[in-house]
Parts: sequence; C-alpha cells; structure tokens
Amino acid sequence: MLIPSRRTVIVYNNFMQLTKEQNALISSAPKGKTFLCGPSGTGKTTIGVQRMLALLNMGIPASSILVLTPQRTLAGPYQHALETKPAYSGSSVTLLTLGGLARRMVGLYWPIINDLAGFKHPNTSPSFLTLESSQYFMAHLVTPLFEKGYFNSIVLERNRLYSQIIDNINKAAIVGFPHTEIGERLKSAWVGDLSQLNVYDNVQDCVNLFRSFCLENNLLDYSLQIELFRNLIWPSEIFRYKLFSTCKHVIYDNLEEDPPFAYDILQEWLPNLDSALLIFDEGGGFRRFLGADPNTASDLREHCDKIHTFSESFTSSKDLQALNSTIKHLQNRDLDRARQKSLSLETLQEILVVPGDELRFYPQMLDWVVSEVKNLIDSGTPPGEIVILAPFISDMLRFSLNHRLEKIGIPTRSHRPSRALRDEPAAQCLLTLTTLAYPQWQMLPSKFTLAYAMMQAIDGLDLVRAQLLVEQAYQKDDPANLLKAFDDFPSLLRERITYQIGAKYEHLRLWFNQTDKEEALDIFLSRLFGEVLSQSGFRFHRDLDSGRITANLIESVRKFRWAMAETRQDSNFTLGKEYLQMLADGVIAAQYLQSWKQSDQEAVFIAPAYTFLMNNQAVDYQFWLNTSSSGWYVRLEQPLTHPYVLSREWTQGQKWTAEHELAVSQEGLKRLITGLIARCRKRVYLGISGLNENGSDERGLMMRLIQTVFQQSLRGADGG
Amino acid sequence: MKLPDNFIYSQSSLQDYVNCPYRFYLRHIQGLQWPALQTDDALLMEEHMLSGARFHRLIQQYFLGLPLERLHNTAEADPNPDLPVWWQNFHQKLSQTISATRFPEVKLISSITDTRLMAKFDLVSVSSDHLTIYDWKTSQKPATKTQLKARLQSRVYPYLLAKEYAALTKANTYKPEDISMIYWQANFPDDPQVIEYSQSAFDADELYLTHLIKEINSKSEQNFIKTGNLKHCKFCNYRSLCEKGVQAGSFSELEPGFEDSDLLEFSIDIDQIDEIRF
Repeated sequence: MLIPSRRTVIVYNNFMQLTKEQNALISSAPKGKTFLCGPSGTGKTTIGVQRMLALLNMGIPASSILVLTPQRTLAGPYQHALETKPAYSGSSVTLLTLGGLARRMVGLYWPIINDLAGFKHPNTSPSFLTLESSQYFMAHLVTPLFEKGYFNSIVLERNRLYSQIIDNINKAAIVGFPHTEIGERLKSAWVGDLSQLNVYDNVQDCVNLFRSFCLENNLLDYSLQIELFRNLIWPSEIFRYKLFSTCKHVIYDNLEEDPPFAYDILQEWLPNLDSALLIFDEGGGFRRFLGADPNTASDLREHCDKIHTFSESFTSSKDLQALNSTIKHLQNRDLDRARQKSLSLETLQEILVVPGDELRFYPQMLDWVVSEVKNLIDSGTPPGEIVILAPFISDMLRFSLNHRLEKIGIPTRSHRPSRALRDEPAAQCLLTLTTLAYPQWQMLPSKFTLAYAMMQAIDGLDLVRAQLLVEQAYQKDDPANLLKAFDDFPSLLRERITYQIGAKYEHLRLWFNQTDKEEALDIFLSRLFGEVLSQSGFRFHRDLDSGRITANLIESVRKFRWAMAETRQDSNFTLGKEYLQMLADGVIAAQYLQSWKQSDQEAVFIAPAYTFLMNNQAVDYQFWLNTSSSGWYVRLEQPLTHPYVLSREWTQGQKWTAEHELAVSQEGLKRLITGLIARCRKRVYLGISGLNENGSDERGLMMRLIQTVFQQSLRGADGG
Repeated sequence: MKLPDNFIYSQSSLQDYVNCPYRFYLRHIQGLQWPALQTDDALLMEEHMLSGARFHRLIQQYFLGLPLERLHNTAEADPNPDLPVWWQNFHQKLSQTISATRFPEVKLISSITDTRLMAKFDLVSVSSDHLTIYDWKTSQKPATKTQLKARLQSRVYPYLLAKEYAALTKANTYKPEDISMIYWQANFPDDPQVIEYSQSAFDADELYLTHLIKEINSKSEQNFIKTGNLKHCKFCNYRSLCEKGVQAGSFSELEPGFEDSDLLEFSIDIDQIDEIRF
C-alpha cells in the first residue's frame, strides 16, 4: 500500500483552481478516447485522478475502470484518492502496471497457452522468476563459458555482466523483435574495435542458452511473460471476451515511461473501450534505459478522438518556468529567443542560488548545502519540501550528508534503488552464524568474522570480549564440535567475558547443536531469528530494523528455493550453500528495494536525480550536487547492451557514432534539467565546488549550460 | 490512534484484533516485519498454503471458462497428490450446482464509521432470488459449523455482500435473508458448512462491526494490549517480541479452516507477489 505525502493531498484538493477546459474534460461523458499532453506540473495527473472519481460519480462500476501506470509508485495519487473518497464503496478500481497485468494473465491463462510456447512440462504450473532469480540462472549458465574465453575482453563486475545480458533479452520482448536477433542488431551498429563483435556473439549465445533453459524448466522470466502475453494470451478469444466485457474505461498515466509493447497492446485495445484517457508527459521518457519510448507513445494521439494540451504550470513559479524556457531555447541553439526569455540577474539569483564564496573542496560545498538547508528549515520550510539530488548517491555522500544533517537535528531519508543485503550488519550476522550451523558446506568464517557476528548477536557483548570469546571457543578444525562449552574456558577468561554473556553464548551454542543440518535455509533463518536472536538477551530483540532486514533476506532465500524447485539439479547440489556463494559473489540479493512506506515523508530527501523524477512529486526547494559532473547526462557504460540500438526507433544497419552519443547526452540533459525544474516550486540551489567528490576538476555540460544562463542575464543587466 | 493512510479493514485484520489487539497494532498499524516461524512444521504449512492457492486458481480458471480438459491435466500434474482429488470433488460434486451468474475472486468495499471494510470473495453466485458466497477450504481436518461461525469472516462476508451486492448485480433487490455462505471443504465435499444470513444477523453484525471499528479507531497506542490467550501466541510470529514463548506451535494443532486468513502472510497469493521491476 502506498502512502503519498501530504503534499499530494493538497494538490488534489485544488480542484477548484482548475480551468474551464480542465473541468470540462473531467466531467465529459464516459465515451471517447482522449490524449492529454503537457509538461510536468500542468495538472495532468490531477485531471486523471479527478476523471477517475468523476467516472465513479457518474455511476460507472469501479470494476470496469483500470488505471495503468508504468510503475506502481506512480499510481499513488490514484490509490490515495480512492481510499479517501467519501462514501466510496462497491467494487474496486484496478490499479496496475502493464507488466503486472501480463504477469497475472500469464498465470491465470496458463492452461490455454502452455502447449503453444514450447515448454517441456506444459501441464505443470510455471515458476515466475524475479530479476534476482533470473540473474542467478544466468550466472549458472554463463559461468562455465568464462573458461571457454567468453567475455574475456570485457572488464565488468559479474553481476553487471549477467544483468546486461538479461536486459537484452527483456529489450527484445518489450520492443518486439526475436531474441535471436540481439547479437546481430548490436553488431550492425558497432564502430570500433572488432573484438567487440565477438562479445556480441557471446551475448547471443548466452541469451539462447537462457531461453532454452527457461523452456526446459518451466521458468518464466520477464521476457517470456511479456512474449506469452503479447503473442498468445492477448490474441485469444476467451481472454479478449473477458477483458473487453469487464474493463470498459482506462486511464493510463505517464504513458511515456513505458516500452513499445505497451503501445501495441493499447492500440488494439482502444477501439474496444468505452472511454480512455491517455496522459503523456512531454518532458518525460526518463526510463529510456529500461525501454521507455516517448516518441512511439506520442504517436498514440493518432488513435484518440480528442487531444488536449496543457501548458500552464500549477507547480513552478513563473520565474522558474521562464528559466526552463531559457534553458530549452539554449539547448535548441535558439539564442535569440533564449535572450528574450532570460530573467534579470537579480531574479535569476533569487531562484538559482550558488555559493556566495568560491568553494574549492567538496566537503566545503556539503557544508554550504547543509547550512542552506538549515536556514530554510529555520525559516519554517518543512523538511519534506527539500530534496538533495546528485547523479549518483555514493555511500560516502549519503553518509556525509546524513551525518551533517542529523547532527543538527534535521531528519533525512535516502532512497537508493539498490543496496546489497550482504552489506547489512544484521544480514552478515545471520549468514555467518548459518555457516556455523552447516559445517558440511565448508564455508566456515574467519575468527574475526565470527567475533563480529557474535557481537551483533549477543546483547551487551563488545568487540574486544567477542574476540576473546571466539579465540577461546572457535574450533574451526573440528566441525563436529565447532564451539567449545563456556564451562571449559579458563576461569579468568570466563570472568572477563562475564557469566551473563557466557550464559547467552551457551544458549546459542546449545541451540546450534540441536539444529537440523538438512533444514531449508529460509526456515533455518526464521528459526534462528525467532528462537534465539529476537529473544530477550539477544541483539535483535525489539530491534525493528533487524527484523526488516531479516525478513528481506528470508524472502530472497525463499524465492530462490521456489525457483530452484523447478530445475533438476544434480545430487551434489546444496541449495543453501549455492545461495550463500551467489550472495557472496553479488549475483543475488545485490539489491532490494526498501518500501516507500517506510520512509518518513517529513524528512529531507537525498536521492539520485532520476529516482526523484520517477517519484513524480514536486517540492519547494531542490539542491543539485556535483553540477560539474558528466554523470548528469553520460550513459552508464553498458558494453553488452545498448538502449538506443535495441529500440524500435533505431534504423537497423545504421552505425552508432560519437555524434549519436553526444546528441543523446544533450537530449538527456535537457530532459533532466527541465524535468527537475518543472518539479520545483520555489528555488534551486547549485552545489558547486572546484574539485569533485574524487578530488578532480570537472567541467561538464550542465555547468557550462548554467554559466551560459547567467551570462545571458548578465548581458541583459548590462544592456548588451 | 491514527491508522496508516489508506488503511482498509478486512476480516483478517479484525480477526487479528479480536485475537490479540497488540498483534493488530504491530501488524497493521506499525507494519512490522518480524519473520519468526508461525508453525513448527513450516515447510508442511507452506506446501499446504501453496496447494491451496493453486486449487483456488484452478477454480477461478474453471469459472473463467477455460477448457475443462486442460484444467483436468493441470490438476493431474500437480505436485500435491491431494489436488487432483480436490479437483474431482469440486468438478463432480459442486461445479454443476452453482448458478449461471458467477463472480470468482471478486472484491467488495464498504464504508463503515468513516473507514473502509473490504472482503475478497472466492466466489459469489447470483440467481434471481439468492446470493451465495462460496469459500474454498483445503484443511486436512473438517471444520465444524461452530468453528467457522466463530470466525470474523462469517460475519464480514455476508454483511458486506448484503450492503454492496449492487456492485455485482442491479437486476434485482436482495434482503439479508436471500444470502447464504457456503464453506466448501475440498477434502470433505459431502459436508459443506452452510450459514444462512438474516435481517437480525445483519443488524447484529452492523452493530458489532461498527462498535469494533470505533473501538480500534479511538484506542490509544498503549491500549492495544497483548492477549492472555497463549494459544494465539503459539502461532504468532511476534511471540519473541512479546516474550510469549520461543517455539512455534505445531502445524497439526492449527484449527481447521485457518487458511486464507490468519497465516496467509506468505507471499503466495499470486496477486500479491511483487511484479518484476524491470
């Protein structure tokens, strides 16, 4: 369940401020297809939400209304509106992503497609893979190929290598070309070292292997879910009859962030709907790297009866809107119009704030950011109205900001899309203790690792005594008797460690002795958590964060076990050991998403810029750090895939050149800057320092663009 | 106590409150994840839950009109040898008796004391003069009518349908007397437990549910007290937090008919499984 911030509620209560045209759109008869476009902040989602409520007020059954968004967080305003609508009752509106719809339908209609898709065990229920389990199976298939020289010219972390191959097969599904063409498409666009062509051949081999493995073992990765839905379920009469007779009204928000397969479906669906409202954010398309295709999305207007374009921002101040126009004109190289639109220097300095003194070092810039945040909060700004953004948020940056802000009592929340479970102390403790319980896996920890785990496990045990305890207790060479009884310790040592700690250690040791050495890993972890670590006297007791991390870990193991149940492994295979090895290699549990609802909405938000954009909520104040970094616009290095070459827009046979790269960088930067400003109500602060986080001097395109904006205003001030 | 934004009551959350107010507080207000075992035979319970979910799915597919032969094949290929039997029982003894207008896996929401109450029905069948709620149970032990009637589900479901049936059909009007709820037990197909509804039951349920929800809504944090009934603690994942025991209870001691409500915290309901984030 989503909990949108209080800001959202305020926005959606502003219904009375809507224009006549907007009100007319909301209350129009439930017929016809409408394409609604405009920049961010012009009230499109508000219209979508109010239209949904208006349909309900007209007596349209809620069960016939479907709201689609590219990701679930974007459905938050709709969910919130439904659940706070007075006297809303009866059936319920369905809120889904198209990927979610595909997944549900593949599960539901499996019996009518299972013999058409080439699965080896068609009558058996399929196993749905997560990104994590897909990555595991990819690793399982690709690892033996390294010895044959596959990818030997590539320097890349293993988990990134696997995820890029998976990305390719997913791209083929969502763009709509056969997965067998991936290698050729990538090769045909390549200019450069010829050895890269072999790499693309390697990619194709791995993709083929993966698909065969999935069909052999009834595994449904994302690409198969999409292909089965698109090719087999969507055309089936029985499915269409049910869908078309129950779902009559669709509201599709942030359409531009979905991939082309969504548009193919929608094109065929539209004639069968009573009404549709397609909402398109003109500056959007931030999920390009995930297959978003805003140009194809925009073409859907041709299939609608009415097109509405909103241009007046309900979010940004007039001055910020003017700044956005200047930036757009500058990036389109229309200098005359940029000059005409440029703000006075005084106004510009009011909405685009830079440090008063030149800051040479990065920590000085962070100090400046923190002091400005404090000033805002002291003058009455709620912390939730402030975001601190950077292209990437490293652990060091996150820590530096959190530490500085929390020291002066300012709450923060940070959201990185991924964080490795193995890096969490609670997870490390659980996993270390697990290796003790399963000595037959031969993964026993070092003394220091065990001491650290003991300290994490036993309440009141510090690291010094933990090391003393382990030094005496741990008998790594005797797997049958790994931990010595506390009573067998020398008496002086027992006193030093204390008998109270000794009793807890004994409790843990005896518990280990009676564990079932064959128990499934997730069950073992639940038992260890519930029977020992969360009991009184142990450190997880009433530690809610440890509970959450343990739950994440157990969920990851359980899904891994379920996925593995479908495959026929040899008798030497030990599921738990395999999980631990893959975890250590970073192949699985490399990322888990923290729930948004766990975030304190009334805290300063620290996030990567794209995460904030996809959250799609405006704030009063934004801080942009590392403005001279090229990370704001340069694509991530992806030697095994290519989001543009594998897109539908790309002409096959064309070469991807440096000009293309520069063009997408500039386009990306334009989208990013205008998208951020459109989501800012009052002011942007620019965190500029002479040296960046790594201590080097950088002058990226964003910095240059900002300098040009200031120069324009200076010229205006000079009358030039 | 301020409930989380967008909170909707269900028979499951109300049952939690009735069993243990503190469990309700931890689970539904705090949203606290506390992954201790709920029963000692965790794998056995998991298999039971997963089989139950597959059986529910099979019946849903039947009512969607998927070809019978394919559903037979799916049932026969199921890893749980009980499932083909459940399927045969359903197909031979029940499927033909259910009237023409059927709403499988349907969700209804109703307003009650400024908040919402929701129910997800396995099946509602509608005839010109009667509404029938079906709930599929796959317990190994038969549940008695007394046990089932004591559950909040037996009050919430008919009450909600009596209030909100118009969301399913506007063809006729129905009184509470026109509603019945059938717990159909796949292992005991000849012993369905039928609960007939009535105006007086509706009035009593409305009073009870309104009072219960008002009580929860007005309760302060410290008044969500822990239950004194340790039987509930045996099957509660929060027992270590409350210092109410170490080991989970045995799966065989669970009351029949528990599935689909109390312990369905596993992410095995197909609709609840996270979409792949791509």
